Amino acid sequence: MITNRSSRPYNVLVALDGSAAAATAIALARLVASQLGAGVEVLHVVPPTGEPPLPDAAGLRVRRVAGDPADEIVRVANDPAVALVVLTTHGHTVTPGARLGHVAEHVIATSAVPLLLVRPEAAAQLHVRPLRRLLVPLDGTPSTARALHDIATLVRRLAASLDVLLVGARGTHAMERGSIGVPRYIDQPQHEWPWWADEVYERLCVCCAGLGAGIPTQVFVAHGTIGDEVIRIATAHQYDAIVLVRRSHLEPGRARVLRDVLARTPCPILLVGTPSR
Amino acid sequence: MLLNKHAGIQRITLAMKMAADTQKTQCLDGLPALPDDPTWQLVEPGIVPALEHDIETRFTIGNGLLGVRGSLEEGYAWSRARTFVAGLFDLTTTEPPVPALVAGPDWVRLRLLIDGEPLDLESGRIVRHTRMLDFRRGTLIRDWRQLDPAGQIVHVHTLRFASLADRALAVQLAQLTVAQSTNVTLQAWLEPSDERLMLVYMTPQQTLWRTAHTGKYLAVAAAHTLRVAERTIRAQPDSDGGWRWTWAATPDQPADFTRFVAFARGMEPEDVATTAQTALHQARRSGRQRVFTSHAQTWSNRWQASDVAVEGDDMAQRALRFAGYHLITVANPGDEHVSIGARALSGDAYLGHVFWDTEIFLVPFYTVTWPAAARALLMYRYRTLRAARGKAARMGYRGALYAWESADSGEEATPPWVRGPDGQIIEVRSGIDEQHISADVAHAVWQYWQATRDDQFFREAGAEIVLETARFWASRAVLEADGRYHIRHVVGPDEYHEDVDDNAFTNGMAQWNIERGLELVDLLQARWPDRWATLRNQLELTTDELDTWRDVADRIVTGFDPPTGLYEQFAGYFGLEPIDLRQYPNRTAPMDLVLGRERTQRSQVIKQADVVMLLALLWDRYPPEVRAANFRYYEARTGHGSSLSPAMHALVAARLGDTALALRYFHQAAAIDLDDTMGNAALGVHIATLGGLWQAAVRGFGGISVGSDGLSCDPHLPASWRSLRFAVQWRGRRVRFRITSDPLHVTATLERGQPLVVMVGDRHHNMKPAQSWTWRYDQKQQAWQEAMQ
Repeated sequence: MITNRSSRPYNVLVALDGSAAAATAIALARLVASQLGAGVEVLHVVPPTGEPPLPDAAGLRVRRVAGDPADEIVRVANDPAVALVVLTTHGHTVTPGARLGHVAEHVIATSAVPLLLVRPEAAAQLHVRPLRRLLVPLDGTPSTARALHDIATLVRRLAASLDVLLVGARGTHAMERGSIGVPRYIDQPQHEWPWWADEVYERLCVCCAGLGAGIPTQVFVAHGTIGDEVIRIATAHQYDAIVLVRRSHLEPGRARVLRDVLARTPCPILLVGTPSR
Repeated sequence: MLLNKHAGIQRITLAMKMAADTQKTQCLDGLPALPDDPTWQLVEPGIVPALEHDIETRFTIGNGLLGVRGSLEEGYAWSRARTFVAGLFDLTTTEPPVPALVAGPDWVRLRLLIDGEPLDLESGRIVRHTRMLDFRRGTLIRDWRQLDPAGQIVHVHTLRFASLADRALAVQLAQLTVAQSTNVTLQAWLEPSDERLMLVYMTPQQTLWRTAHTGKYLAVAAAHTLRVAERTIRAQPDSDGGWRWTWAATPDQPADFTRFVAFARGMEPEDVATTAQTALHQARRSGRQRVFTSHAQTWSNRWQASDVAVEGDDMAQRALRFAGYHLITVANPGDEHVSIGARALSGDAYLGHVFWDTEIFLVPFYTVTWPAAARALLMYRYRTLRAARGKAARMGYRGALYAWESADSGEEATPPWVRGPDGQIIEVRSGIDEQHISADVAHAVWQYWQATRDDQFFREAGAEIVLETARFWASRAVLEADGRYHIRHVVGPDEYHEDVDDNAFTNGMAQWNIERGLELVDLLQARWPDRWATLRNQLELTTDELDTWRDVADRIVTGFDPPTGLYEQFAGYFGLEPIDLRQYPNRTAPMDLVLGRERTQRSQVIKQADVVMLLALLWDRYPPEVRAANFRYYEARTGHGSSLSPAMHALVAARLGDTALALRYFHQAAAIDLDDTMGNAALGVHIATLGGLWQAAVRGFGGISVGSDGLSCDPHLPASWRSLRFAVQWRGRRVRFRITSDPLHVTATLERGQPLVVMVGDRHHNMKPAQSWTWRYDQKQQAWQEAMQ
């Protein structure tokens, strides 16, 4: 966990396979590393099929390894010094309509290290900017919120705000005590919204995630299809990244929100939480 | 630090499974045993930090002066400990500033050190943890056994109450037992909770604070005793103003801690200091046993007047006891300068502001169970009448327009804007446009007088309120070219539709208010001519003005549509987009969030009872078919986006005889604070909903009406309710009703006071003191019959 690494070397690992988005990924990694006061290490995986070209990585430490890209990324990411892995969602062969390349899918499904995912097809439009404003959609359950604990130090070092978008999931609430949902009764909005937002923050961010003071937070409410609302709010408010919590393994038919948001995100995705079956 | 805290929470969650234990909680030594009837208790086993704010709200103790959330004595980051003092307002630091309740010091704080190490829930393992609220005696009990990291089991047993017999006084008892001999230190102190309270002075006996902007004083005097094996342990002062006791604890010698804390609020520092000291002195002289006995007896008396007992529906029974408990904890007949805020004294939300909730949802309960409390609440409106006149004048009207949100002075306290769920700024118009509150206050005054014949109040205070609010409506309505009076640009109870014209509720209540004003003029002239002369001169009421009142009452638009029998909620409502709410059966959000604010405003979806509320308040003004038609029409269009709505629908549905629907709404209302799946309760109890539950039970299912000539009963019990019992006071009498469903019988007993008429169906009986009378419903005749004496 990040917290355990706070006193160790703090590196941003950017994993490349020579794709078109590699330059964007490196630029983003440089910016984020600068925010974190961390170093950047480029992981250049040479697959058995041949060596792809290495983009401009001037001034960066490049670690060149041979083997299966997915396995190597996961292996190197397990180094305790790695705080964050920057990764494109597809390799240099982008299948139109595919939401995740097989390398990204494997890394997402396997690694517990926070991943900063960049869509290659958005790379051309992506204005690389520091991660100052983060949006995290939550379903109101303590178990989801607890996953944010892993990035508390990361968010602080980024000096970023972390705004919460609460998307109701009543079925989940009923099963898990301590959940908080979209309020059913708004008697007087001038009182309910500020205090309810405060309760969401204290319950999910402070009590469950342990984020505590020092991380500026606003709370938004969404109603509708989760993916649509995440994209709508992230676009309207021009967030620098969306923080997504892994709730399930990437088996077919699962992690639909993750796949949906990844496919349409206007900004990088910071993926946190441990994959679980 | 964060990691440690997280791990602590994990441990608590795991240990909760072991600690969840419904074993009956015992009371502290020396105090009477606790009742074991679960319908008189609220029990919370274990600890779930994420739910703590909800639990603290539900477990609030209080006495009308104090409201103390049910937080744990050690204090945790996930707690929201608060002790509210009624009327202790200061300004917020927001822009613009508005008055808000200031939290007093957290007086229940304790720290226990076992061999120098603090004992808390996050270190070691919870063996057992239970909180129990004893509704019957207004007491919170905690039973906690903790295995500390050193392997020592410590048993902490606490009890607290805010004395109903002496409202200045709060009491905390604690009993500490160790499993092995060890050194124990106990620390007790007052934890400041609000930076708006400025410390004036602190002595070993007393602390005085002053609010930063409003200059109110709060004095807190405390006395502690710690006894071990009949020996008093001497307290040592701590550097922070607290106290510390250290002793060698053994398993067979529990330590017994008593803390008396006296509170006083006021504008004069010497007065509040003296009041607190006097209360503390009396408590010390009486001792904890007598203090507790007096408190418990006062609660017993209150329940004699207030309890609603249901057979056949345990959930409903628990909800009604929970409601009765909180309603008793928030009223104070001795203070006419305070009223009851939307979340009572149980949470920060709503800043302690007073709305129409008090007069429409709460005062009916107090009027017939605790008239002195109702009187004090109405006197608060009398004392804020000047501010209401000022608001009306500033807006260009005559008479009195009460603040939509009122604090201590009665000046308008509604925040002018809010940041909405999308982050956008929303203008708040209710402080300007939601004006029906003036008629709501007048309604409560009139109903109180009808039920109590408290002529002194009515003559000296209530009459002026009724006249000044009637005058407001007469000046507010405008005669237009169609020959009718209109009230334009208002917000009714349905706040989804703003800036509407001729809201049926507003106009209907305005009409009623003016009519009562005219009736009052006749009454004053006939019964109290001197008072009438005084008021007429003081208010400069002229015959011409009274003629205008009559004209407005006669010609105001009501929205009634004779072909359908419907009242149009406001001009143009029938033409709005119909939305079939059945298409949103599993929604998890209010309809204005589902549809969006703009579409909601263009639709017929309404937030809460509006025309239905008019039916509930002015039932006898409408013929049965009109009541039924309007309820059916609007019930289908109501999204219940307000917590005020379900209980009122339960009330009206019950009176209409649709008991299944009424019961569904009743349970929906009960869940608002008791169901912890929505996080509703974290911000404080919905005290108006709790008042609405009582009304739904007594006025709805019980069918009680308070008339000018006695009480009437037209019951409609749900199929599952075997019986319903409650008491109602009317002009100094107390009548206890027992209604059974199979067979359908009503038994009334005149417990106290002079003879009165009780009517069941069209059968009335002139009851004599101490007499019981029973009526039975003859199914064949479809009529009530007198059954027996």
